[in-house]
Amino acid sequence: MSPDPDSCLSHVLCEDTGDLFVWGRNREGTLGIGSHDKSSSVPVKVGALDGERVSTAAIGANHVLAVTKQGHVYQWGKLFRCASSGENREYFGVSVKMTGLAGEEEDEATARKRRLLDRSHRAYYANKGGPSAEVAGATASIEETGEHETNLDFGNFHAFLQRSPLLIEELALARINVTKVAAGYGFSLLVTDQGHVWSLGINEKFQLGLGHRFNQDKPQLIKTLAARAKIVDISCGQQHSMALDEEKKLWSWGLGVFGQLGHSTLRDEPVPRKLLSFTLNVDVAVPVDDGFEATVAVAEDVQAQSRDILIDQIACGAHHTLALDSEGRLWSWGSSEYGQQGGSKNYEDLGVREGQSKAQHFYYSIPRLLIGGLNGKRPVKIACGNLHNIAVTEDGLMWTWGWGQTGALGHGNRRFQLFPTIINSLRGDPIRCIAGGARTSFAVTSGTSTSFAFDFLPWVNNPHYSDLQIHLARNKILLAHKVIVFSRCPALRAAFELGQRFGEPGSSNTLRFSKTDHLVFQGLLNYIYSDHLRVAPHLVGRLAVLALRLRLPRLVSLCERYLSLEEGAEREANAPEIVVPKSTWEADLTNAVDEEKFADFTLFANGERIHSHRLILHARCDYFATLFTSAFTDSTSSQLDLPNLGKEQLVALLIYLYTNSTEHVDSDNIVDLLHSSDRFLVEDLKQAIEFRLEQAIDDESVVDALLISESTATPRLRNACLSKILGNLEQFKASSGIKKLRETLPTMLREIDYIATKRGLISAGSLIRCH
Amino acid sequence: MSIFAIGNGKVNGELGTGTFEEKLDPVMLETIKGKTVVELKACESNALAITGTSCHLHIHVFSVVIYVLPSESCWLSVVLSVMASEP
Repeated sequence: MSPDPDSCLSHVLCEDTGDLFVWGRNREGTLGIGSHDKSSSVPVKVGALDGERVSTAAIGANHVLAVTKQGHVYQWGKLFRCASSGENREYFGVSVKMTGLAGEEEDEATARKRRLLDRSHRAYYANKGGPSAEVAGATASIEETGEHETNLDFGNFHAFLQRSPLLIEELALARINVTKVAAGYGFSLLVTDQGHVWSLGINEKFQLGLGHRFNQDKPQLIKTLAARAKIVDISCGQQHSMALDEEKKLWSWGLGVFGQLGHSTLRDEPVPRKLLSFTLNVDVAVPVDDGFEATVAVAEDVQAQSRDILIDQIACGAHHTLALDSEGRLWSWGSSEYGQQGGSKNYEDLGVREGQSKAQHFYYSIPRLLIGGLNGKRPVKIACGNLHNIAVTEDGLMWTWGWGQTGALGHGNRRFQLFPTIINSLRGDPIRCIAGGARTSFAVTSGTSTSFAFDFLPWVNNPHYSDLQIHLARNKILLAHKVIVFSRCPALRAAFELGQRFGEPGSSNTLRFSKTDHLVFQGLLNYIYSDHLRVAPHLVGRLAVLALRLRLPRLVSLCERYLSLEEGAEREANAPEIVVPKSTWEADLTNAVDEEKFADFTLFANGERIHSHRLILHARCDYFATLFTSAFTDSTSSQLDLPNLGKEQLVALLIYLYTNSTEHVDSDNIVDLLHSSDRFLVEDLKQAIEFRLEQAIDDESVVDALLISESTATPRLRNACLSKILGNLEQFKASSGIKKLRETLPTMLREIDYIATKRGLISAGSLIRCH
Repeated sequence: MSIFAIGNGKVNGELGTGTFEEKLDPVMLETIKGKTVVELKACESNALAITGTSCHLHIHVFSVVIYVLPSESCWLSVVLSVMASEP
């Protein structure tokens, strides 16, 4: 269910990754915020990782993995541990008894499952040289506990809820750097920079690839894979695992009952096995589902042509797999119950052929080209939900197909979709990143709008700080704020000033649009405040006309693009794409900084006056929001004295608050701005500056940067400095920095000495004694 | 840059839109503001996003030399030698 690795935009962002946000269910502590009670419908930051930069992450059914830039892995949510510490701590943690069936069916199903489990055990112990009497006895006495959601006890392999990130110490202590992670239902896979794969968690279907079915609470190296391939990417399904090696070949293991492993069998694979057969023939024979040992003979010519197929990306659904090859072809295999493998004309095309049972067409155990393809378009990114697929083609369009009962396909209905189909409402801005969940799909677009402007959306028609009334048709009135409205729309400013000159007396805060519907004008205000098109669909046309009158070309383009998408895909296919101009927010609001007109608040920086606006300060800065809403005198005062703060420093901060831009941050003001952002609780700016300084530290500046980090509470900068120092202790000892640190912050020197001693780099106290 | 979510968030709010609803058409997440999403993942009942700041795209600091001038308020005056480089 993890999307392809290339879907991340790290190449665009110079790897500036850091914060991790999680949302959704929290019964198992999956949010990582120290509790496990209420679900969260808004993203919450995993604050415990504030000192780390998260480079990648994975999310399983009930647990999360996060990898830091140092290659450390944290995990939280529903985890597992072995109660006993003996050598044979593994436990065959599978409930045998089948429930929900009646009478004989239940007995038969339970007996069949027990036979399968026993067979698996015999195979394992045969490989190990025969089972010991104790273990063989344990196998025979598996407790028939029955399936129950609240049963967290798997014998001596216990589930526990980890509510905040927990470092996987075994790998960190062994200096094993993890680069990628994937997670399935209760199990995890980790790829190291050496190309090795480690696995841990539940192993009832061989999903750990260790050759046996014993659960593991500590990461285990998949030795059979390490000896044969260097892995560069992995993906987990519900109970199966896929790996992509550096030669662009696929390996799979785990549950294979739906053919999701792609080995032309329906058999589980205990250890990683290389995929050898891809078929270009979509009408390939479907394997006979006669249980555990079903196989299909793959023709030699199929195997021969498969050698040239190189895979670029992989993605696993619950029980199916999707792969993208280097020629831009999509391959799929595994369960096809809801059309995950695509279709031709209708569902019957996938129907029963002579001599096959009804259910057989649901399973495809040989990778084959996606039926129907993507209408000739070349896919560049793929992702899987549990039962549906997502792809992005080179033209930036997003396609979905498969199960649609929850609306996760994005086509405005709950139907499942055999054909990959474009999500029309996401046309326009290219899709940069995709992800699929059990009942959800996500997309990140590289739009031209500035998302930070959502900070201002709650202020539309809000009486707080309002200094403008807009009179509309049917005597409706909307409340607004001059600084935003007039900065963003010069035509409205001109109309207002014209009204001041020639209008009725006593209308200094009034604009009149007596023929304009208030819902249309509210759509205009929504755009002005949030930089996004937010209006009822049937009013888009009228909003476009109003935008044309008010000379807002970007809003006109947004409306036109929306209307063109509404008119249907056929027309759109022939019409040129409407290009939306870049957002003008930054340019619009820059001029409002320190502008006396419309200002309602005055700041004094070292006695120098700076004009500002309560609305913007409140919306963008927690410090001022608290100040203005508190019960202290300052909340009603129209001015604020800020001693020990230079005017240039304050103006630089205000520019960021007004525009979210850091173009004005340079070498002259970067540290001043870091102090300002720390003082006024502007976390985003602080993080941006912290990142820049972190990238810039070198041997000479590291101590100074460390001092800055201590005075500004920037843990990532601090960690980067410590890593730099510990990475070259000899140079640090010889530098003047150690003397400076001893004089200004001796406790820090002691801390470095302690860490270095613990790591065995120096003898205790040698840094403190060093002169 | 905008994040869109589609599907069923009735039970756990896994769409991240701030509501426990089902959305059959893509809806924009307004809850991650002013940040750039560099990675998105989703699974059974949760989703996650790794964010970065897009602000650094304009200046690429290559090397910095910082000098500290002691003062009574621990004020740090810094001179940075900045060399621009290709991203």
